[in-house]
Amino acid sequence: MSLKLNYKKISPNILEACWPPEIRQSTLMEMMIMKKRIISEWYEELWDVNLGYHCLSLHFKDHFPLNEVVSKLENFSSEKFQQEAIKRKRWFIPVLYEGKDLQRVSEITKIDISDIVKLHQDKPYLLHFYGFMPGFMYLGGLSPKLFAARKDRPDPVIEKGSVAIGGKQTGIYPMDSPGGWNIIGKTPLTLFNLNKQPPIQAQPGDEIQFHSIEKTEFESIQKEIANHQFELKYEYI
Amino acid sequence: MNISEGQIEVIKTGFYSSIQDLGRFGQGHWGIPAAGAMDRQSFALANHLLQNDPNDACLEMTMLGDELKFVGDTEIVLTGAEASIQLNGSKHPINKPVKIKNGDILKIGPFTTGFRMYLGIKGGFQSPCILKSRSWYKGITENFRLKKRALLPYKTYQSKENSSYAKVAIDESLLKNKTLDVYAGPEAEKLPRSTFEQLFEKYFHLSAQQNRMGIQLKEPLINELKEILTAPVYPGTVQLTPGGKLLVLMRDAQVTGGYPRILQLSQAAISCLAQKKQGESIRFNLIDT
Repeated sequence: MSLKLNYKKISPNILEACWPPEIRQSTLMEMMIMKKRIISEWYEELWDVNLGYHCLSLHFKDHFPLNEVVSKLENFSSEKFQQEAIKRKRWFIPVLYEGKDLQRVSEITKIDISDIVKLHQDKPYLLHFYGFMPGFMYLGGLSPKLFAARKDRPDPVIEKGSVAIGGKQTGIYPMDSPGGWNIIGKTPLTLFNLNKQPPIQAQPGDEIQFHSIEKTEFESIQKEIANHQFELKYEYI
Repeated sequence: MNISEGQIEVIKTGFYSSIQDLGRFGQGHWGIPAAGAMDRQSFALANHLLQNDPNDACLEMTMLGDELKFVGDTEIVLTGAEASIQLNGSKHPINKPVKIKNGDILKIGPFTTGFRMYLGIKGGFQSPCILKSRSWYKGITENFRLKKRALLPYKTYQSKENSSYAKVAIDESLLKNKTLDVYAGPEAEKLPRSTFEQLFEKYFHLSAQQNRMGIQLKEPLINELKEILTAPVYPGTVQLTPGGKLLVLMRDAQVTGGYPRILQLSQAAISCLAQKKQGESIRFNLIDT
């Protein structure tokens, strides 16, 4: 089976391979397999390989031979993608659902706060890619019932660990930042940690499962983190 | 030659200064911007003139220079924007490596031509290297903007003989050039032909909305394009915002974006644009990839 990819040479150093413009899990998995191949083929020649929802970019250190690179990518994509398995993990993220904008989200969605909390952790979310700021996950799978427009006036500071809904997306602020998303909760975890290599553990293709915790548990996890006793929980999927 | 720890003490800050090298590559998949010198051409010149490594960290100054005291002998060079520069009260040249003695004070005034100046130092600044780069970026490095009384470490350097410096022809066009070479962006083909052609028919002016992340241009374009599914963006990507404004992404830009990407600046054009200030005009020149 061959993938029908659209190749765009963006500059003498940058090539994008694009899948059909849709948000799909299968696209993400194909992109991850392709990315693995790309890195093993051109590790020395590349600055970076980045993902969006449907575009994979190859950023070369220098000019690259277009025909040669595209024909190799075509070869990669003609191989049987199904045979390749990417090891995927499901990460469990504890959340204290007491965000200051829960009432606002309840008014927009016309759903009770307790049901918002239930719905938000009902299913795992798919991590498509990182963008917007260091360690910020683009998560797919927010229930349309929870779509809630961003605020007209962004908050000057949204605290690190805040779990929020912005339009059709949900996410976790990895560091303090201004932002217009509706804050529904907070995780005690430090997801983006520059003292660790890599600074963040979840990979595109992994899943994020939120689960509700009480204030006492939030505080005990904070203590465990401070004492370096906390281990982020995950399972293979 | 005797190497030990030296440092710059910041007496007075200019407008916005930061330590930069070529950037933090290979970290984009974590959402970490590359950062790095805005004007790579002047940055490269500074390291070249000092016979440094091409990735050695320099101090990038914006619009107005800093006042700095050197603790420890070294050698420096200033490249990029032009300004009135004084070393211990005497006129100091640009684009020429100069020996520095312990206690020397360098004072750089407002820039007369150009918008960014690089202070290169022998061996490069030794501020912490985080994720393979010394480039300052908020949330990644401890500092992101130079503050008064800050200390910038370097290795002291004394050379007994008069070193023979690399002779280089200085590219005068960098500061004067108004024409930016661009490639058609991935979403350019979605624009009506007449709109796309307008991009090359007029001059655009730099607005006040500009920093190391991006530069917004004043003149709007009629925009009927919808936002795209979030896709990778790069330094030099020109986005068309829903309001029709052109936003040129620069070195600190985020790694993905949802606005149509209608142009991509060449590397040389990014350096050239980095030297323009608010109100200056530029035009785009379409070239092939």
